[in-house]
Amino acid sequence: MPLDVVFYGTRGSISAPHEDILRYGSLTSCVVIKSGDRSVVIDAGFGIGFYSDHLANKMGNFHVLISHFHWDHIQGLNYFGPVHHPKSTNNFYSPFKVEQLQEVMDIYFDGSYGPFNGWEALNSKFEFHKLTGDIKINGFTVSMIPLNHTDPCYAYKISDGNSSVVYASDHEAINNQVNRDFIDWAKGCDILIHDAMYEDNEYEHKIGWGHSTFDMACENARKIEAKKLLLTHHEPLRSDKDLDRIESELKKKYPGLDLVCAQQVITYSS
Amino acid sequence: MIFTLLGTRGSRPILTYEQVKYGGNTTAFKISIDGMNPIYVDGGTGIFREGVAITKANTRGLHAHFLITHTHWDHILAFPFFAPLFMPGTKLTIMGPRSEKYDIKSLFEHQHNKGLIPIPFEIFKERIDFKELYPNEEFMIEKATIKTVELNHQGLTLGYRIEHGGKSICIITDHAPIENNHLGVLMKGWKKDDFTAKEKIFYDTLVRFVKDADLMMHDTHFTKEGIKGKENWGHSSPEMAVDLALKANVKKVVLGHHAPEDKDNDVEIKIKSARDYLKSIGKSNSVEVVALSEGDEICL
Repeated sequence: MPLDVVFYGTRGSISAPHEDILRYGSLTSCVVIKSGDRSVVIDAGFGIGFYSDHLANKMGNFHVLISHFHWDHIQGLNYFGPVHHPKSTNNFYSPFKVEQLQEVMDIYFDGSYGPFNGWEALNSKFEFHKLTGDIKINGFTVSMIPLNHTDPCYAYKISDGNSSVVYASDHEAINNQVNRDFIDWAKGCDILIHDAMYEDNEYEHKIGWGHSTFDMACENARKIEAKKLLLTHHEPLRSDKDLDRIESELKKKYPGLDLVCAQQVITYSS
Repeated sequence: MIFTLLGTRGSRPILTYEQVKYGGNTTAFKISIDGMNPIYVDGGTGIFREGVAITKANTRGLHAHFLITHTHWDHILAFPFFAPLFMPGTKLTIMGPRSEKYDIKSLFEHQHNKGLIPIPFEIFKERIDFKELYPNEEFMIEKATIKTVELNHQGLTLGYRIEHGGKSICIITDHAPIENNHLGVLMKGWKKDDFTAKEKIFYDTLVRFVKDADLMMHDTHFTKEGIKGKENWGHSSPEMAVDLALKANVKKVVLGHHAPEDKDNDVEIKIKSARDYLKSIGKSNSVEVVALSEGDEICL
């Protein structure tokens, strides 16, 4: 069975909805990896609320991997329907200490920032897991490796025995040991989801901000020999028209690469 | 005085093909007065594009006041990405209520200091002055008079009245029905025997506050039916907005803080519901009810 990838949040930094970004989407990071009726969610930006808008059933066991705790990757937590469903269990996974994720939840669900009485008062059940190595989650094998970002951040590899998807956002793919190790680790994956926030002229002013250019992502995909490349973490204002243009330029520049700029709600299959 | 709607979605940003008309950015409004720096109300995602537009048009920094209704995420989340804050010369005065636990400055600082955003708050410190506000205050921002009132929402939430040149704009969001539904932190001390009296004082104060306003933006997150059983969520219906407007002789009501699940058609149903209600009581000509798209202006 192929692995399916669906983006519900494709943007980096902040959501700035506008009619010129309807197709690629305006919501911050959230991707769902599916195999049949099994799934894992990666990151909890505003996209995770949009994902739960699409869920017919908000009751069950949900599995959410967190790449890091920057705001655009966790700000949707309260809008994920299952966190309010008394019969749901929300499993959160990250390589960080369980207490670190709980501290973020403590801030997020403080009554100062919303009609909350702390995350412990929410109706659903929470399970926090610290990842220390390869692990089986909902029938998938999940592994991780550090990325090159402004704060500690991890890539995830989701495999089902036949296919594998690598999620690498947020990552500044410069020629350093972190990126070389990442390339070796991701080698031969079927789908590579890669940070591609900037065009070259924008990157000049944003070196060290922890994000890649479109070219950096394509070069990494080539070295990894990924069968398909999905570019994400779009700059907040980048229009559908501009992403269309960039995608077609990249396709000409990298004819051997099967690549797309990720659009929201479309299913990409391995 | 010009009222500009920059964002009017409640809870979270969203935008689908069925929501293009009324837009998906969270709460932010601009009030422009000739010869004055702008006054903004709230800093939801609606201020992000505004910030980019300002930095493109201006070489000097922005000088502006922000009136924050309350510090729930959907009303403040765009500040760390507000482009003028990255420009030397920018000077913002952010005014609003504290939360039960923290003063307003700490509430902004927390986002930066806990590793949630890779931008040190130090950059912003010299560009932002914070001032804590409470209900029933009155003060000047340049040539405009600003008044505050307590609203019925979780924590401490302020309604604002901005007056200049004989015109007035009121912002009433987020706000819920008060009957047997005491959400505000200042209401915790109310005693059961006094509930009816306290509720009356609260509502009468609100009516006096919006009295004769030319424009009142009012929370209408819910429909008349949708609010039933969800009064304690902290939001209003179009009928509540109309009732308040009628009691206070408000001329124009702008519906807002639309629920993230509201399609354009749902917003139009709310407008119709408010107008039908006015018609049913023979008051169609007493209050004008509208909803605005992002970027729409009302000139007073």
